[in-house]
Amino acid sequence: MAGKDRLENVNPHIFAKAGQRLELPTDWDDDVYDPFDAREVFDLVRNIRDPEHPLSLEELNVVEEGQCEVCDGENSVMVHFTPTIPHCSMASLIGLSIRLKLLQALPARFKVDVRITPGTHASEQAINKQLADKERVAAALENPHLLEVINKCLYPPGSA
Amino acid sequence: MISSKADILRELDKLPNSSLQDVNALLHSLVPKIEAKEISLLEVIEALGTSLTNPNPSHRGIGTRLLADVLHTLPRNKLNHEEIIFLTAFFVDRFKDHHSVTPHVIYAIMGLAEQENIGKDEIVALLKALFREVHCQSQIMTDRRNIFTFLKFCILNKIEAVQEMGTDFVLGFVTAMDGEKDPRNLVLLFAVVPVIVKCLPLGPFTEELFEVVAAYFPIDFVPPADDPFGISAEDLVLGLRQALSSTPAFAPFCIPLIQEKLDSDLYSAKLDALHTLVACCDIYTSEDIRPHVSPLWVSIRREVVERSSDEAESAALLALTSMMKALERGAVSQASRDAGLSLTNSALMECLGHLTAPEQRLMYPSAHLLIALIASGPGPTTSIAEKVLPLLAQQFVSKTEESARKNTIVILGRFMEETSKYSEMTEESGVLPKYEDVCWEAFSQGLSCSSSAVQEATVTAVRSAMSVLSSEHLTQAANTMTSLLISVNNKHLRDSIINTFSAMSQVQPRIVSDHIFPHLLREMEQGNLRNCGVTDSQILDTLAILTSGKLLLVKVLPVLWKRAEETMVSSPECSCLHFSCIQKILKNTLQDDDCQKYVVEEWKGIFNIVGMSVRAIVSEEIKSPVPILKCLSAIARVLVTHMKDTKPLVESMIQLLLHNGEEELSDLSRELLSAHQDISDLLAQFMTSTRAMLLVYLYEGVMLGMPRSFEASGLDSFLEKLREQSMNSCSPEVQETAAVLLASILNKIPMGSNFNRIISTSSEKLTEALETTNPTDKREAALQTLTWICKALVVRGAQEEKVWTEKMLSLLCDPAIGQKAAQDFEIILKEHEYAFRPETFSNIRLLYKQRYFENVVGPLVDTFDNTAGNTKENALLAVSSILPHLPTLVLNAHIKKLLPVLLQGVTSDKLAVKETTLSTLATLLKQTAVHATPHISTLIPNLLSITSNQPMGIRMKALECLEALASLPVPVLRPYKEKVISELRPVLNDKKRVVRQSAVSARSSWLLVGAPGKS
Repeated sequence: MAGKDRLENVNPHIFAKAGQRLELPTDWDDDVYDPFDAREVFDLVRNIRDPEHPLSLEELNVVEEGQCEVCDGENSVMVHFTPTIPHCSMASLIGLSIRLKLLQALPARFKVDVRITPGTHASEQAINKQLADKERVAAALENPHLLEVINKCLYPPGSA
Repeated sequence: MISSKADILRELDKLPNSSLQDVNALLHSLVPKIEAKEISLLEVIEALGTSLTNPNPSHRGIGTRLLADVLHTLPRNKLNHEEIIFLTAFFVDRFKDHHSVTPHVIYAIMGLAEQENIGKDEIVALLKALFREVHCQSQIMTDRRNIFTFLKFCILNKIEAVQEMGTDFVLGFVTAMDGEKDPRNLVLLFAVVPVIVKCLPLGPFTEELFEVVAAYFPIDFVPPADDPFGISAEDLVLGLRQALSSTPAFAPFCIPLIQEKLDSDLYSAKLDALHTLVACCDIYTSEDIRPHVSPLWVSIRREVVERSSDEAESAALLALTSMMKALERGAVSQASRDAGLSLTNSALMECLGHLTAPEQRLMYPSAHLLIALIASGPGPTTSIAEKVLPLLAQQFVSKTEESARKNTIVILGRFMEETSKYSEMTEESGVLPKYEDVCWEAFSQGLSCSSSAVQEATVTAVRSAMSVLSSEHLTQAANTMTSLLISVNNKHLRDSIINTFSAMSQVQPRIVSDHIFPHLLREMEQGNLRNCGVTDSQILDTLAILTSGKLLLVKVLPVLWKRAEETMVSSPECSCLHFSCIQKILKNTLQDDDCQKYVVEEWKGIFNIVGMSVRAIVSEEIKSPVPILKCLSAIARVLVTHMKDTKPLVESMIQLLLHNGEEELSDLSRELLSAHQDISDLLAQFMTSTRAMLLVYLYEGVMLGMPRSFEASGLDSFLEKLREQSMNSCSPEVQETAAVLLASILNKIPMGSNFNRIISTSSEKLTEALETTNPTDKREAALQTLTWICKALVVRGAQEEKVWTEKMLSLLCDPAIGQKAAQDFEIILKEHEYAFRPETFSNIRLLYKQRYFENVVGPLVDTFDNTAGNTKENALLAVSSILPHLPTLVLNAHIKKLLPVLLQGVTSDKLAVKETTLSTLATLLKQTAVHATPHISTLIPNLLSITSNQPMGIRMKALECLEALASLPVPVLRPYKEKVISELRPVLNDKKRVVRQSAVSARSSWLLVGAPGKS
């Protein structure tokens, strides 16, 4: 349990959660192709938990549906995330969590980019570079301690 | 059996050489002699001389044990005082003997203490000797238990003696308990501590007694799997909590201990400390708590702000409330008043700031802390409410951000609700009336706000604050909410408005009946003429939920009925909506006697329904009267099940159908005939005309709810007609309705010759109709009737059940109707919407599902194993049709037998079989996946192969099964992990989004198998 003195942002803003995705009648028609869209990618990452708080990234407005860009035809996915404060030391951890979740949950054909929303973090470029570097991401995910922390964010107790 | 006195004494003399059996026999013959005063205890001890003085300590032990057994077996009043004095002196002396003798002495003194004539001095002597000579913790567990039981007995029953010992007893007790490890003994000891605290002066030993108990705090105990006594961690936790909170004298030691544990990293310790603090605050005085208030406040606040779990948060808030309550109790002294004030002030100082930033995370924890203080009493409430209410009300008006306004109004409502629990706050001079206007301003702005989220929050707040608002304001709120209800199409908002209205009908029924209902009824009558977002059915649902009590029923029912009647021709769907609304209203209101009387007598419910049904049947303009008839039938059913005496009604209905113009009709029958002019024509053509057949719905409505063991003249012929309809009617719907009605009556009529005759004729007729030479549709109708009658027998647990089940089983191999027979097995166990239920007075045997399943599972699995082709498939289909309707406990017993069958179903060629099997399998695996372990090597590849190139239902179910399998132990799954993960990768690209979602969740569960950080 993180002690109070270690929390960087004790009192963050809390945002409303989006409702369930609206179902279309074609969702249950086996002959219709459902394209990948921004909402689907957003649904994948919105319930990731913040490493500091018992809150989801959606509630902290770290990820938004509008910040997920998906181009199904060109096989590309781009997710921008916004750290709650510009000096957030957890930013790269959050980025890594989003990145890992998308790697696990999207088909291999997609090229996935995870970036910090421009102008929202002090070391934006460094983190973007880190997240874009496949080798560094792979190396980070080899680290069992780091993987444990990330898995706890991705699959918080009670979510499964 | 040894009989003479001399023999017994001789036996006693050579005791050390006797076997265990001999000793027992000796005991049995000895005790009656002592009881009859033929042998005195002195003689016994003298005779035992050889063993009691034997140089071998184990022989001395045997002698003492025999004496102890004698004491335990003797009646409680047999020994006189002299004998007891003698025995006491004897045993006190025996304590000095060899250590192997001590356990027997302990056992003996328990028997001695239970004697009625024992005096105070003897008890004191025994206790002193015990404390002096025996080192309790060197004894084995059972002997320690005997010591503790002896101490408990003394303190509960010989309190004068114990009180005479005073602190000596406390010291002895503390020494005996110090270091005890056995959970069962601890539960006993924890229960004794409060008694000691109550009856004895603790003197200098307060801290010792506390320390010896507190050493166990917090309890960390996992009961062993084979514990025969079933001591749970909770027993210990509660026992210890009771001991710790037993006296204020413990406070100086206990509160620091709690404080220390509150800062612990161990979650369970923290939780236990919070609960213990609550218990202690109830007993401790404000003087005890005062010095610790501020550090405790810091810990509690941290717990609420960090909020590691709901449980911890509510425990912390409760602790805060109890602490404040304790301070309030002592408010007579200046010091505690100051302590209470300073706690309130520091809470206000720290929390108010967060209340003014309602969009941020700490808003709710801060509000909860203040509300917990309010819950402790009126003292802190005034100062908190004075500050918070105007602050929040103004803040709502001035803020613009949606989430900020939403949070503010919800919390404002909660504060008002909590404050209103004290009568001095609602009085004219209290805080609430003072700020009512300001708060109402916020509410009224919230209700008319443009954001529906804020409106919804305001509606919730109005519900909380209902008792505070003046009736004038509440009326305004009700009017605004009613117009929202009929104009806005937002489900959440509507739901919370309806909830608020239901709450309002408890507090202010007048507002509901005078302001809300007229508005709603007007809207309903306008029907489709309105053009706004809300549909008729939503308004009707609202009416159905809100109507309660005769007052409202009288207003609503006739209007609804009239409206349904008017729309019957122009829009049957609309009419059905109204009818089903009436049915819901009746269901909610008929328990009330006044309402029932109104519906049955004044409103003439049954005649209305009969008249309306006949109208629907004969009217040429209504193309499909069946839905309307079904609704009417449902209304009739609700009405009949609530009526007190239904016999005349049911008899008249039967009489009408069977009567051929000769016999005299009853009054009620004639009255029923007058409900509609065409009714007699219809009744006459019941078996022939397709329209008249529809009367079966009316009959279903009236007869399905008849009481159990019902008998009426003509019932046999009536049932025969029903059977005819169920087998020969040209409409499948009529067939089914007739079959259901027939079966549910057969379920209720009394056993006997009549019942047997009906069953056997039915059996003959059905066998005839099921002949393979008959056309398939006729055979299917007969099969349906057979199934329903079989269900009736199974549900009531009749003997004939077996024969009928066998008949169904035999049809599985039929090429034409075998598959339908297999599917029909579902009917037997599936809960029907209204028939065969307790509310329609059905004859339901306890555990009938289990019995039926036990009977049928063997034959079905055998058929599956021993046949091939269609029959095999049908057996499989039958199994998977039954399984979803069974309680899981039953399945667990058979799962080993069933799993191989289901696993073959997964690879079946028939899609229908495959899909039912998979969904059953998914349900089974979600409950317990363990049994699948032996089959996993075939199951996983089979499931993986159907995650693509199959209909989407099958793909999803296969993925669900795979996800459920991921809960098996890691070593079992490890060999398959790579394969599953890599083969699920392409499924992530499935063309259907719902399938992709299942795939993501299945793949994630497999990725976590054996991974670090799995929760």
